[in-house]
Amino acid sequence: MSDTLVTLTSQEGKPEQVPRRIAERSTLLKNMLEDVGESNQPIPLPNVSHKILKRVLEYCIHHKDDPQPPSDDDKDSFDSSRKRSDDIDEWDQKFIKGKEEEHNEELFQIILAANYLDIKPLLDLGCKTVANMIKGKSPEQIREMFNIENDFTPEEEDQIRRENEWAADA
Amino acid sequence: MPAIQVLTEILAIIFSHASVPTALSCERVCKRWSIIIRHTHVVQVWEYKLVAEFPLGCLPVLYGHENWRDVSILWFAWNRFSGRVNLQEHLSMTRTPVKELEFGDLIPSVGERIVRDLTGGMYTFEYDVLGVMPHGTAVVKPVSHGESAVPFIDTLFSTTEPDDDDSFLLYAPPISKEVTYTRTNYLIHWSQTARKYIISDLKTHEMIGSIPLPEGHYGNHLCGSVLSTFDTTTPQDMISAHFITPTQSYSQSPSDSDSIKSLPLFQPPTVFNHHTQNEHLAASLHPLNSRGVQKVTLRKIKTQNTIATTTLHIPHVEKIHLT
Repeated sequence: MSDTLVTLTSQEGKPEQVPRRIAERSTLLKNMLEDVGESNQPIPLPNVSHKILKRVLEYCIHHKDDPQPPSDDDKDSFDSSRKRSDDIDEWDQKFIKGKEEEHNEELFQIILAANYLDIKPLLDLGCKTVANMIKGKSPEQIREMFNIENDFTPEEEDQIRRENEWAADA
Repeated sequence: MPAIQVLTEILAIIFSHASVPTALSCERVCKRWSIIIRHTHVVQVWEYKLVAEFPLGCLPVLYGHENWRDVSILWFAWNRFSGRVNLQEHLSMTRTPVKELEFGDLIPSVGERIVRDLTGGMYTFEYDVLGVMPHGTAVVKPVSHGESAVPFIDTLFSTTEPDDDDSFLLYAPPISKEVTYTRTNYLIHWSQTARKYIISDLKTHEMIGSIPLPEGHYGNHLCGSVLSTFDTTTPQDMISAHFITPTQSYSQSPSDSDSIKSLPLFQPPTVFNHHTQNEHLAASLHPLNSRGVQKVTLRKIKTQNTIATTTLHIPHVEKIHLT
């Protein structure tokens, strides 16, 4: 059964065929496939562009033999390394880096797709990468990086700065 | 980079992966980020940071009203200031989260006993510091929305005769909250605005003294002790505050007043425990000796057999007087 092909349809309506076991790296697709049973119907993915879908599948193919991550409900399987941002392996680093000129936008599109498709390791990889990008940056630098407007009043900004300075300036 | 509408849930995951200083920077980026980090997703953002980043390290002083953010920051600062983060490498221990302790377990150590169960978010303390501190047990649970759990200091003092020698312990200023300690004749109130402990008459509320933290060293003073007789009309002359930083303590009595008892009443919570996958280990920080050296012992919990020892050198003594 795991060798059967599954057709995924991207936002643009373009089909992409993948082995079922690759598609099942996505918890969303795994559940859908279990629900529908044997079916040749394509699975529409309206939230994922074809370009990002191909990138996500590239990741799934590379990690096809990885053990499935524990579910959030399984407290006993907590893995502290999952929250560490400095443990990204070399292939994943290259993968997530992508093309330099498209890096940031594509990175967030991959994160959104991983979230939608429920691929926890890919979601973590993307989030860790963003966490590394903002590491050591000032609030102003982070705002510039993400094009975020500072909506604090000067008084609010000063207050929150003072609240944090005891730890930050140590 | 174009503005991308990132889901709140995803931002929370990103913040949970960020280091403590980075998360603090992110709080200042915009209101939305600040609300996610400090309120709506405070557990998700900070809980795993605490568990994953600091499986080994001494516990900071807790009041009982801290949420996971407060505890994580205190822990971060505590380890950072004390240099005990490096102790982990020194002892060649692996990063494994403490998650196997059962609530109510006690780890014997010199000075005090602390057990934490990070999975359940419960902390148990049992103090017996150099025979001076009253025995007491407090259960402190980090909470998510700021409401008070069991007030640490009240619980601590509720187990002993109040004001038996009119001495008291003053704990670290809270991060962002106003805290008042009530004693028989006076109030000790931490003023976040003034960055001082304000001491006032319990009945008249008249201010009778204040204890500032040392200029420029605010962040270092996570805990401290104040010992006073409070039996004269000039409390300013009678109060001497000794703030112990994680890298500092005092070992000498102040020479300026015989009326001031000065003992190293309060050693910071110094038991840090660690579990490996196969055996339970406990690391205990012994009281500072007169040469400014603290010994650290790593033991098996069940057998109490010592596995390793090391020492920490405390640089100097600091003394602060009322102004």
